[in-house]
Amino acid sequence: MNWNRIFLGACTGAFAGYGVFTIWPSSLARWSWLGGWLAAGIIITTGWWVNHYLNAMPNKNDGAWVDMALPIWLSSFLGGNVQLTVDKGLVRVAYGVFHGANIAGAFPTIILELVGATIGGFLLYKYRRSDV
Amino acid sequence: MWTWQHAITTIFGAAIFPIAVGIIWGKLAEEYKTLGGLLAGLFVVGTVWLLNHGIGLLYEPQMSGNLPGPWSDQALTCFWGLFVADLFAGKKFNWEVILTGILGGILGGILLFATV
Repeated sequence: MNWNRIFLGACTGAFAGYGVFTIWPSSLARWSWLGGWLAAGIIITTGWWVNHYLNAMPNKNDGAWVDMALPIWLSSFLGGNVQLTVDKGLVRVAYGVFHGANIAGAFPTIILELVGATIGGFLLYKYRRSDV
Repeated sequence: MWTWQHAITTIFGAAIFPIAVGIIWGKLAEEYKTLGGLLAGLFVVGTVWLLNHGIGLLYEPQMSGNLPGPWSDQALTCFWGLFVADLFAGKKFNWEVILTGILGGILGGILLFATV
């Protein structure tokens, strides 16, 4: 366990998580669906550069890949979404577990996301082995 | 309310994101290095986001009401899909990076909580 790498990776992971759920809703509010598309280039790209291209999150070749998507998902789940609006400044548009939002309401979404992602992951594994 | 139609679109949206990331991202990074990440950010995450959240393949009924949340992003599907794909391939748990991801998420959540 290299704690310096863990804390560095936690900071860059939190950067991606915080960035996504402030920039994305703001960009979406400002430029509609095109803003939603551009937000990916604004924050996901920068997050990927630090977290994965330059490996701030300490993934190893023989370890199962942990994407920066984990801190991103957890950030919004715990802390909700914040939007910079055109006329009213910063507003909160979604609440997270830290605000006492009801986890049970999100449960079906999470379970079905995990089911779909497991199917997708299995197909991806088969694709990589080139036996689909 | 959840219907079987929502279940189908949610499962499909959840499956397509790790597949798209897993197939395209490495190739773009290999061919175009740093710029490949920009292309992948826009054309993989941006485009899949338009379908999953912009249009709404991933159904999130908890986002209505006066205490909307918690939001469960498509990011969960990306993490989980790529993670299990490697587990199927026999790779090991790397506790260091798992802990990094969880701590990063908790820190990001605290920052979002603290903003407004």
